[in-house]
Amino acid sequence: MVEFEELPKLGCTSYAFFVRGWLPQNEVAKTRGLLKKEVGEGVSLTKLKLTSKEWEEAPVVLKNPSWARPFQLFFKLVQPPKYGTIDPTSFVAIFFPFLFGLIVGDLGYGLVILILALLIKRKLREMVIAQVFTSIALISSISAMFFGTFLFFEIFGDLGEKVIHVLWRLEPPYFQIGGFNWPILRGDPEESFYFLLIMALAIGVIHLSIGFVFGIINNIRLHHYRHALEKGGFLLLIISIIFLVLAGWAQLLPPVFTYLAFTLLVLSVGGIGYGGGIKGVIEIFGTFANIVSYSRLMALSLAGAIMANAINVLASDMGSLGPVAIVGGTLLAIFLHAINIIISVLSPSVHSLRLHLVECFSKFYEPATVSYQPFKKIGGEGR
Amino acid sequence: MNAEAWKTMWLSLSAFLSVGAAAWATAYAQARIGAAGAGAMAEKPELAGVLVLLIAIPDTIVVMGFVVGIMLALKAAQ
Repeated sequence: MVEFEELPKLGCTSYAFFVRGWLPQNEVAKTRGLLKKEVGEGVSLTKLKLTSKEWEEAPVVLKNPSWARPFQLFFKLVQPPKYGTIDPTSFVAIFFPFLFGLIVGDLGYGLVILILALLIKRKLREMVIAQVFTSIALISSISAMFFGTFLFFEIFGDLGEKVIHVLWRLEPPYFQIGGFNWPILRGDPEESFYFLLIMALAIGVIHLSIGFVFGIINNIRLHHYRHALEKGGFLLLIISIIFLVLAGWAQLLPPVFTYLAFTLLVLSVGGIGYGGGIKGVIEIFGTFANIVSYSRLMALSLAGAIMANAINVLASDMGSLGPVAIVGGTLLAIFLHAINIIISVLSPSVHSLRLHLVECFSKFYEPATVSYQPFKKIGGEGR
Repeated sequence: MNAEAWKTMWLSLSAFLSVGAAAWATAYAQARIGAAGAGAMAEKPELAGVLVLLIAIPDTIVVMGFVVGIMLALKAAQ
């Protein structure tokens, strides 16, 4: 019996006994009321102040708005955040579908994932884990459809584009106002490659900067001021690099900013060195590797698109052989696209996850050591 | 062969090598991690989530190889 294992933690004399345990902050009043109702006035519930040692091992309960709640699944992979630090669930809930959609970036694939997710959601209404997974898939597929429509204009690869070409004799971009094209990416492959690469790196810079801001807040909350200074140094470093690139390399800003950026650079390296010591200075290179690692967004979205196009070419070549082969080509295309959709669910979610957990979370995340397991009746008739 | 053809050939060859070698390296690393991870998972099944992440870590190698490779391939296609 698990209940008895907790017994040595309790104390009792011949006239009184006491129970000591953890309770979520917002359930204290409720429990107090329940105790009064069930047991009577003889019991009192007192809130204890946390010592710094207890602060370290306090169990954590996460509280999130309903739209972010499915993403608490992430804390099945890593321990939930330490007591008192930032809960990154809402942050993940915004950026995970964003990165996923950017990698998939296909209206047709997004639609298929959406329909599958809705079907599974209806079919497995009792399974909690299926509900959570499909909620994440729903949000992510909508994001994939958004990027597939506005950024890449892919419907099962270049199938949509070809159909529009056959039906209406239209070539992308279909829509132009001033400098804005819809879809944004069509035409020169080299231009789109560099556009995607720079966009992926920019997203990486933004993602990591948010991570460092969280790091500053976390370390101030935990009273680790030197570490907070180190994180601030990294943030300053990223900002100075942005200025250096914008002013020195792309020449979008006046050259004065180059000197400003160099000053910031020296200041930030000083901050990192003071806050983190030699380990912090080495970490600078790690941060660069992290930013470059975001180029996977570009690589994966490109690889997926090329795969889909290859399927279309294969099927259309087969279809051009004769009337019977058209049926075969269609079947082949459906089969290969189905395989590609499965790959496009697995690989982007693993990579989007990895960008969060490996790249971004290492900048601020401190896992809790103990998870909150409420004391309750297990088994027996009370269940 | 003229100089232009030589250039194209070497660029294509470099593109092939950068993707191929990086993919091989990733496969090697992931095979080792996967084997070790499967052993660890037999002892501690709750490590499954961490394992997926560990296997995803060497992906960076092939991603970098792909980026460099496509840069070279675009140069070769010019």
